[in-house]
Amino acid sequence: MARSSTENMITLMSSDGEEFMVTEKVARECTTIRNMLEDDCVITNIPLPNVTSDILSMVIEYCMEHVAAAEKAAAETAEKGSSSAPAAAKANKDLEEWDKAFMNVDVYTLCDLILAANYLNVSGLLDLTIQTAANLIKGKSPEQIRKTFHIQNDLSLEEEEKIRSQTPWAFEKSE
Amino acid sequence: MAGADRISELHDSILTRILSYLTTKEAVRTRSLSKRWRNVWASVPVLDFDSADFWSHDIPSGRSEQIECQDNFVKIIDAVLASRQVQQVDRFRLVWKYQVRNYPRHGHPLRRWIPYVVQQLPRVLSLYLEPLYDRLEIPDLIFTCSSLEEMKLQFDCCWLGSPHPPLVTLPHLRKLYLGRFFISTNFMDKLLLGCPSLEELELHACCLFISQISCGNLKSLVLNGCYPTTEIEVSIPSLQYLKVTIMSSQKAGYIFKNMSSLVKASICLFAIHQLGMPILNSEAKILTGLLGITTLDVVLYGLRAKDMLEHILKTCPYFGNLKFMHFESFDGSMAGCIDMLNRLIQHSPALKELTFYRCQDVADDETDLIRELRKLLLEYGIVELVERHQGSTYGSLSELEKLSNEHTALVELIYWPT
Repeated sequence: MARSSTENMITLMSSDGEEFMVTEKVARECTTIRNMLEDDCVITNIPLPNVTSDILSMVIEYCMEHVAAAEKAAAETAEKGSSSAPAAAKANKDLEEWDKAFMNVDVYTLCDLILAANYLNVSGLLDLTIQTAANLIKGKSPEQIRKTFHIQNDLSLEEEEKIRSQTPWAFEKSE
Repeated sequence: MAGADRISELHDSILTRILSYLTTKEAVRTRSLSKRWRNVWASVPVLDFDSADFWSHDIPSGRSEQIECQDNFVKIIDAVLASRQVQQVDRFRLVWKYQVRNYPRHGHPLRRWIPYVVQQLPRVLSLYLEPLYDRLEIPDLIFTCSSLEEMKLQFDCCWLGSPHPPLVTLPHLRKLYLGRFFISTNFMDKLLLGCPSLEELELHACCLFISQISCGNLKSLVLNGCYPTTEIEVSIPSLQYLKVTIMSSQKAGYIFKNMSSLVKASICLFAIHQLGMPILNSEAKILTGLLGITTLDVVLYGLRAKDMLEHILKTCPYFGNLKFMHFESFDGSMAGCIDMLNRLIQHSPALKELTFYRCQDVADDETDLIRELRKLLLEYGIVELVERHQGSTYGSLSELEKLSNEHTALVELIYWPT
């Protein structure tokens, strides 16, 4: 990864002890870390006991991509005097495509990413992961949702029947 | 970890956020997943009902069955509102098409639902109703719901007079969309005074009985398929984006003044002529008010749209800052426009990039146009021609057709009121 020598580097440590060096700018994408840095500006080493190395590396990957996209857009605006609307639309679309590909993960990873995005307070990633989870529920029957997320049905047959009979309309298929 | 149920371990606040992206029907469906999920739905701060999820809009059935079906829809909404566990509605969306039942005056269920929703301080309110026989009155309460940040209202009725709420106070409203409204001067004045934070205003297929739109902090204005009954002077110094359609059936147009912040303008020319409809000439002073823009989109629709463009370009001003010009046509209406494009390019000395959107399945003639254009641009040297097949101002040809139909219905209503 390209970095300028003048930029501050921050070390993030995952729950399993792995260290990740990132630029301050990338780290600041996490509001939780930004607040720590603002409280104590000399901090360079941040332990993150709630995030495993697999997940932390993904969060960093997301933040780096979004920082890079924002920098590219800013550079283009500075160079051309004003941003070309079609070019900006294309850049947005590219980033959307990247997000979409990034969300091609299994449901466990997705849930871990939701927890990490929530804990680190990366609002873009939290919205993205939550929306992805919602899309996995959309249009599915309860049985299909259980299968997708490995949800154990601990309701008795009678309980389930009762729930369904209270709101039968919710279980009718949309036409 | 394979086989583990991670999602059910997530905190309630996250689960309700996930369910916020779903319709209320789908959120309620999660009640039967497991014990953990039984009550999660009741804390979701979103109410989202779409009649399409409850009956098919396409298949006609007997009127009595339809009434039964729709009475059921009303009961369901009542029941959901009664069994929620939070006193907060962040977003309320209701789409109710083909409403067949006639309700007595003040007896429409909206009269119950709106006070309930307004009490719970919604940020976003979106109503799309289509009563087939009734005249529906918009509850005045909507216009004093001070928590609102976004509002979208569309009431497709046989006839709907301009709303006349006694008071409009929407201090936080940033986005407002009104579809198929009759808008009187009195209503417009109240709206603009009562919404001091308004940044985005869209009027869709509205009949405008106003002679001016002037306001302080609007950033984006969309006048889509509207019918102005008299010439309208638009004077908004803060405006950055303008999208306006000019229909061939319009007899009066828009005049833009004091648009000193305007950066981007999209002008869509609709040449619609149908049997039994008068063809009127649209006003053409539109460009002179847009001098400072850096981006201009021109969309043509209908074979006579190029005549409209020609009319507008009779008084083609100099666009000193114009850098990006973008043309779109879906139905071959740009063929033969080379002279006009040439004039526009000549009047835009700062032009850097010309893009051209083409629908892939039509417009063979335009291949010639693009060839000619490329030749022309070579002479100017600096301008780059880009052809695009996606990312148009309007989503698709069918979207343009729909807008055109809505406008036609509106004009028919004015000329032949029922």
